[in-house]
Amino acid sequence: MKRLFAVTLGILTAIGGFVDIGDLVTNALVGARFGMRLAWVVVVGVIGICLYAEMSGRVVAVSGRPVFDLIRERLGRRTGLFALIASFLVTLLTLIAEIGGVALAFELASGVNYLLWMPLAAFAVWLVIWRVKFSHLEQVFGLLGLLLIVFAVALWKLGPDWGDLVQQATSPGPIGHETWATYAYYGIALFGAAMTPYEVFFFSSGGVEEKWDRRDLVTERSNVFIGFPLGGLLSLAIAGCAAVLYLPIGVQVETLGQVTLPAAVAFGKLGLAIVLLGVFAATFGAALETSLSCGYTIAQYFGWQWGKFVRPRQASRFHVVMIICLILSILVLMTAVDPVKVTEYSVVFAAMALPLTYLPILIIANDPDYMGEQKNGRVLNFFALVYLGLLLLASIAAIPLMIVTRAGR
Amino acid sequence: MAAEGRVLHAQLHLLDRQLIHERTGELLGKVDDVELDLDAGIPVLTALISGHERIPATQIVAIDSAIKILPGDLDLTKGDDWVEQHIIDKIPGAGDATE
Amino acid sequence: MRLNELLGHRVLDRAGDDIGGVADVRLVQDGPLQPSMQAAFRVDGLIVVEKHATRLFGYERHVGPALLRWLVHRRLGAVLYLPWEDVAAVTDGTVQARSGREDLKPLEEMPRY
Repeated sequence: MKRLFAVTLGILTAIGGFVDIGDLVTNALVGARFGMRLAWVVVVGVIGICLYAEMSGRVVAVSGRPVFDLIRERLGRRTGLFALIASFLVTLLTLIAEIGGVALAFELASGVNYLLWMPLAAFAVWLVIWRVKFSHLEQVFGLLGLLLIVFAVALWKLGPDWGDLVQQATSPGPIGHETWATYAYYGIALFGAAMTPYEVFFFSSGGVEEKWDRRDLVTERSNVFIGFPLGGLLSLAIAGCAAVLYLPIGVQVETLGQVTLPAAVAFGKLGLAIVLLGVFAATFGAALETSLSCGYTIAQYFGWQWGKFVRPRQASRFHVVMIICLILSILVLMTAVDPVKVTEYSVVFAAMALPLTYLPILIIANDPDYMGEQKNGRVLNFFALVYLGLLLLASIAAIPLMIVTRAGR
Repeated sequence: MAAEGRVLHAQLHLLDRQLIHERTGELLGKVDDVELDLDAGIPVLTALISGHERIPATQIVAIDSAIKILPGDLDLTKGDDWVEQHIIDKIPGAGDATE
Repeated sequence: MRLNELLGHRVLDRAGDDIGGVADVRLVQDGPLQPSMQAAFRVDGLIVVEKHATRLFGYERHVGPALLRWLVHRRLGAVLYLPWEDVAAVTDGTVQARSGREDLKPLEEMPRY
């Protein structure tokens, strides 16, 4: 159990990336439309985020400097500001969606409209940030989020034709009336979700919150290599359930209710209760991750005091940024915009933010002034460069594909 | 020059680096500019600039992955203090450690 | 003078030809002793980049993945070192050198520490 507690930072970070509200729906939607034919993208994404999160964690353990600190330092004030605006908008849009997601989970559980739950959800997120210690926050929401493993168990219980699923996974490409454009669009969406920039902001800042130093390199690595693959597994399980339940009968997934249905089909009311608790924890955890990341990025760009390791009054601008972001979330959601749709637009900003986030990490992880003996080896650099190329490609293709497919429709 | 001193590149190693209080570890802003005296007999680095404040080179303690300084009379946390007084301190629990 | 002002100054050689822009300033900690008993950082010379004198990302020092290094260096052109002794004058937007382009060493020949 103690071992599990040591890797909750990685687990919570990964939950925010792979199974936040937007991705819960995207994963199920992809499963329902393409079966397991996009599963390989999740695997590629898991490897990519592992590579770069490990680098960012190692940089923090060795030098004490989190990711956005480095972005400003290596890209300079102007390019750094551009990166800040793009990645802040991605993070804020995701935060807005998560607050809506938490409220939607309550709606599913209570039947009361999510708009009424939404201010309460935002207030609860703020209260946790204001009062709860970082390590407690990551443990509670990281571990509760793992309840989503119920999807993996449900998949097994549904008794699918495993050979068929494997056959889908090994034959990439669109089926039926789907086009290559929609296939590529959802591929990029899944890849972007796996490598979404706030994961490294949160993970590296979390390393500072946890006061990592050189002796914590093993902890850092176990967080990466347990947390992110677990996130990927959850994402695949959700897609798998949808592939079994919805693909054969041609049902389109649009709502959170449809996402949770497989667990209810497999385990009845108990399954539904577990999955709702898991969805709540995952979206709440993602809300914490994104609201903290909003504070981390802005404070680190300007060099302000940040972090939950000091009292709120000692990091007042950091806390004020998060309060403003949460108020903004409430205001945006009050327009009754669909929370799930909000994340679609974040793809646009993610395209701009992705290369600018990961390039500085790669540069610093290679800098002997910072890293000494802990700098990257050649094999790691080779793969990191391959992924930088992939990120660049995804960035360039994302916006045109979004327009051509009308966001995957 | 007799002894070989440490080599730094002003833009790479100083510009946009994090400033830290040498004693308390408090984060004090970024280096926005570097002041050089090029007209002196021996041209030297004279100060770091952060916002409107000028940090004389004599107050730099160490240059590492962050720059450790002794701020002395300098007011580098003006913005933070303002927000603290006008907003954050009005919320209950602002001065408490988290649990 | 402020660093942000100096960066991007055009560098003219003895003959008045433009040989590049100021990309960074090399400092060596062997200047006069300060009251804090630390030696001051002395301005040792200017790092001059043939083409785009913007951010070097530290790549002028030849660290990092070879492919990125190659890309950055192709964009920068030659990275030269102009010792402070060879600077005749720093005026509005330009640095006048005493030496010719052919006298300047590539930066990579300078010790890094």
